[in-house]
Amino acid sequence: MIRFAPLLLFLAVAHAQEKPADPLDPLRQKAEKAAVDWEALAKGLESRIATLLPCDPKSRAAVEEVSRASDARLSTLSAYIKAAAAKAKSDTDTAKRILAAQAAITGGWNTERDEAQEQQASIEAQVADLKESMRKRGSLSGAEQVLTEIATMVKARAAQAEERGGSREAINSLLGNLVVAYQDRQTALENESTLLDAEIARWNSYYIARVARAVTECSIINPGVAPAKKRP
Amino acid sequence: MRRACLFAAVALLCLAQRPRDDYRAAYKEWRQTDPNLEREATAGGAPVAQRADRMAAAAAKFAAARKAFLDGLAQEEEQQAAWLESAALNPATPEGTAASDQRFIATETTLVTRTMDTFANDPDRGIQQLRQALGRERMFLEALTPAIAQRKKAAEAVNASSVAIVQSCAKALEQSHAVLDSLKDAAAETDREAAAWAEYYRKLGEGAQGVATPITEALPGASPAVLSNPVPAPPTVTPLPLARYVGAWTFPTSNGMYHGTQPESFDVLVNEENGQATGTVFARFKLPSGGTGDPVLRFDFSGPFQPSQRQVFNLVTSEGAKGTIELIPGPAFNLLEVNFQTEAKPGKIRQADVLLVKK
Repeated sequence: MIRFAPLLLFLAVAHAQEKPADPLDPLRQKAEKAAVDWEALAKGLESRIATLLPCDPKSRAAVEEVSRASDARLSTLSAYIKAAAAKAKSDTDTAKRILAAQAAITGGWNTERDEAQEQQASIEAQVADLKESMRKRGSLSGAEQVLTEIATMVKARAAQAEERGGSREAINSLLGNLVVAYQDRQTALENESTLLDAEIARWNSYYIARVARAVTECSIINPGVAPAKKRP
Repeated sequence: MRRACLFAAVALLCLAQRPRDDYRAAYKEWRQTDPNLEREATAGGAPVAQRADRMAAAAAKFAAARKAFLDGLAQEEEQQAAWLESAALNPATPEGTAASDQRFIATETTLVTRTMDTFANDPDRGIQQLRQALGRERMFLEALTPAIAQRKKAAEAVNASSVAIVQSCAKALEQSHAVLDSLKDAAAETDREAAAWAEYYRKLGEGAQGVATPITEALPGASPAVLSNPVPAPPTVTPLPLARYVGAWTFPTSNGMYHGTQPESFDVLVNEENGQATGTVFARFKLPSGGTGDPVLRFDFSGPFQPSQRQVFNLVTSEGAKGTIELIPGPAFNLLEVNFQTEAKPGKIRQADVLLVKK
């Protein structure tokens, strides 16, 4: 097993290198880190301020630190979702172009068939002329044999083009589904982005209320003195 | 970066629909070159062979144009398949944060509510202010719950669409590979047909030079066949038309075939007069990295054409080295293989084998 380990490692590295990097990865990682940071601060907030007096500047500073971490995680998430939505739009456009290109290629099989049939007719006329010439010059029989083979090849090509053209609807349908899936994704991401913007506004309102509570707690203990902001 | 390039390539290729004009024009030219060839082949002789050569050249030109068209389509299809593979690998599903948010809301709401309940019956004005502040806080916490739920639903829709994309990409990729195979088959078929046409015109030329069989059925008063282009045939001893050797030939700028040192350029001019060949070769070779030899080679050759397909002539290089050059007609009308060897001279290329195309 140990003997194969370097090979497996090499294959794993090679596979990882083959997979193209997702351009959204840096944004995703930033959003995930900001979310982890906020969660840690938010969970520890109550225990941090429990031992502080209500008017201790550290108390308000702790609440504001969590509020800033919340802003950071929501804004990085918003940036990520907006970038994902933009990429989804680009993907949708590319899928549409592929659909159009595929339609042109698959539609081209009908042209291939028509052209092959046209060539077939020309070759049949050539064969007829050559056979006529062979009556006077038998040494042309080798050429006639090859020309007949060519006629068979072109006939087979026409039949293949006909068959390939038959799969056009299936391909268009499959790619149509792909375009729809990309459009769905784009719509879902744009919707998520809009909803996140609304959610951000509510988180802001919540943290304003949370800071206001800290101010109130101080004011009822020490009327007329608001808990000062901690000097940086 | 690779994805970005892929996007650009797909975008450009898809915008430009590949035209069929080139090969259609070549086909028309081929068909119009000599429409009466087969009918008039009965006349026989070198003129028919020359006409067959011209048709072979036109057929080869058509085949090359059609092959370029099909290869171009296959290249586009490959790029589309690469995009589909890449898209299927990167669904880019965003990480959901709704679960931790909901836990946070639930914990905070419970805490706030418990504190409010503690102060519920306290008449102190300050405590009531605090209770009001807690009430506002709880209101905003409660307002977050449906917003988070809605966004969670939207995120689930994103994930669902990603699954659909991966599935659709896999199916589309399968079809794309099938289309690609078809295009490659069609290109290979074009090659086979091109070879068959070259063979046909070669046999037609050979057959026209064979002995005419007696006319077994002659209608009384039938007029003799008249050539549409009765060009007198030049005397030749070669089994193939002289046009297969004579003329200006060059090494193609891309995908050129060779043995030995790779040529950078290789130009041959072959002339014929009264059965005698004279010619010049001017070539430049790509020397290996660090090579100190002379990349340029020039020589002249001459000699009589022989009754064989391969023609061998003596050569003398510009440095005075002697040797031989062999001219071998290629598989198509417009191809000529050139194989030469010379005496050894310091720093000089002394042998090569290249496939040239007619200028």
